[in-house]
Amino acid sequence: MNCLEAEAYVSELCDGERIRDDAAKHIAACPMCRRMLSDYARMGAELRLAATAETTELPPLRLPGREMPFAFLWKRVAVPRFALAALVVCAIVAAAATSILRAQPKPLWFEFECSLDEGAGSNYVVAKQGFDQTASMLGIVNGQSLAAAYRVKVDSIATDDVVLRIQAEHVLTEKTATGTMLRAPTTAISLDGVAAVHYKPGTSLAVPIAGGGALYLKGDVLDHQPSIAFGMPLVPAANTLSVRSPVLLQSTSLIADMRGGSAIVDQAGQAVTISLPDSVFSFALQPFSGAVPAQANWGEISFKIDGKDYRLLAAAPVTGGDQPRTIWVRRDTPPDAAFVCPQWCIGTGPY
Amino acid sequence: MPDEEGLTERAAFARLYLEQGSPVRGFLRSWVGDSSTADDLTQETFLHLWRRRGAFDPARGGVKAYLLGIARKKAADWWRRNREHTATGSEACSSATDDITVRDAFNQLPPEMRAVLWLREVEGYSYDELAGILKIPLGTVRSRLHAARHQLRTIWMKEAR
Repeated sequence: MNCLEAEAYVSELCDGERIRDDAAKHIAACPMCRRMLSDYARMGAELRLAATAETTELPPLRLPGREMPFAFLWKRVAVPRFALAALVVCAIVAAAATSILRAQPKPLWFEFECSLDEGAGSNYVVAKQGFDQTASMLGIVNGQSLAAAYRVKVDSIATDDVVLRIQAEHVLTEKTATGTMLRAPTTAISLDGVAAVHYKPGTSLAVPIAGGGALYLKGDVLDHQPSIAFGMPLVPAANTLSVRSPVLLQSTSLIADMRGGSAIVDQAGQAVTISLPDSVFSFALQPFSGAVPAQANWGEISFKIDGKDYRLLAAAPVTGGDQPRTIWVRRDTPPDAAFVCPQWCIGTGPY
Repeated sequence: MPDEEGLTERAAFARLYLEQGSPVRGFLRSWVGDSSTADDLTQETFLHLWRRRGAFDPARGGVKAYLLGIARKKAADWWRRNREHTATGSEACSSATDDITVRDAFNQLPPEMRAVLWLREVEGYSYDELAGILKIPLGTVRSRLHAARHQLRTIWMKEAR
């Protein structure tokens, strides 16, 4: 948890709400977040002071005089017949138009996070009705490494009820030179026969993982597409490299489709690593040994290695700051046959 | 005795106005940014309730929240009609001194943010009550409050520097 992620919880804490443990721990230990909490409390007090000071005498209430009920029905008015007919037609058209407009509800958004340890957030997602995605994640639960993939389909979203179907299962991990990485699911996760769940926003939904463990889903319904998700900007900070659901192209050929995989680094010395059967690509915001410059332009990273053009296309901007901007990439061969990824692996590690 | 009954009803309504007029006006002022418009909209809000007093159902919540819901609609209508002619929170800004106050910074926020922050901080409504008054989902209440505080603090610190 960093300050950016904790910020939304500072606001909730200020309102006397209970917040996640990791956010509370961060805020308790972070002078900047505590300062923000203190500023928020002071702003509230200043507003209440201003409201009290601005209280002036109310102008008198002017209620309309008493009339005979339905008096207007007794008054005579002259209306041409064609005007009366036009009024009736207009009323019918207006009623029809209003019913059509009312029949088009404003779309709602479902913002949720999934984690393998209740209360520890990861895998942030913003979904609309019809959303259907498979993702995988790696976590430490009770000191044990746990890797799972899940598929979630959002059937409908209402203010207080989200109907979804979700299925989770274990996936294998790979030991690579830079750490433990997720192995791509070998078969698609089926939702056939999976019962729909009526999820109440704000609660925690525990989804059993076949073979042991659980996946926890928690989210909220919004009437707009959020520019931030749970305090984490959809456009990362300038010092963050975030690769979400990428595909890697060499020239115009697809060499890896890593939808559902993601990795984030926000510290110097760390790189996002993508391991393929014959190559390991390391991406970092800083230059490092053997790396070549690459152009990051919101959701795209383009670079050239050994005369070959590569493009990595991600599902969200890979970094913040002015774009396009230069980042760094290196391609290595897998250091050891034991570390070869059979399909693809994505993760983080030192460069 | 219809006359006496009518007088009693008017007296009760006048008492309601004395009790709830100030918070309604405060909320409207936070939204539209100037006192005289807030006074006019407060009148419209109470007249609306007076004309449709049969529509209020105490089982569905307090009269204050009901009045604030009407006020929200009146303010939104006013804002739509006057958007192109109105600068955000002009009244308090024009009288600002060198030392910017939180109130001055507050007046620079967009009206939706001012409304939710005012109802939370000054009137003390819970997230659930705010969702009911403003007719927005609970998640939007949370994110809008967070965004309002973040923006208010940014303006306040920037201007105070």
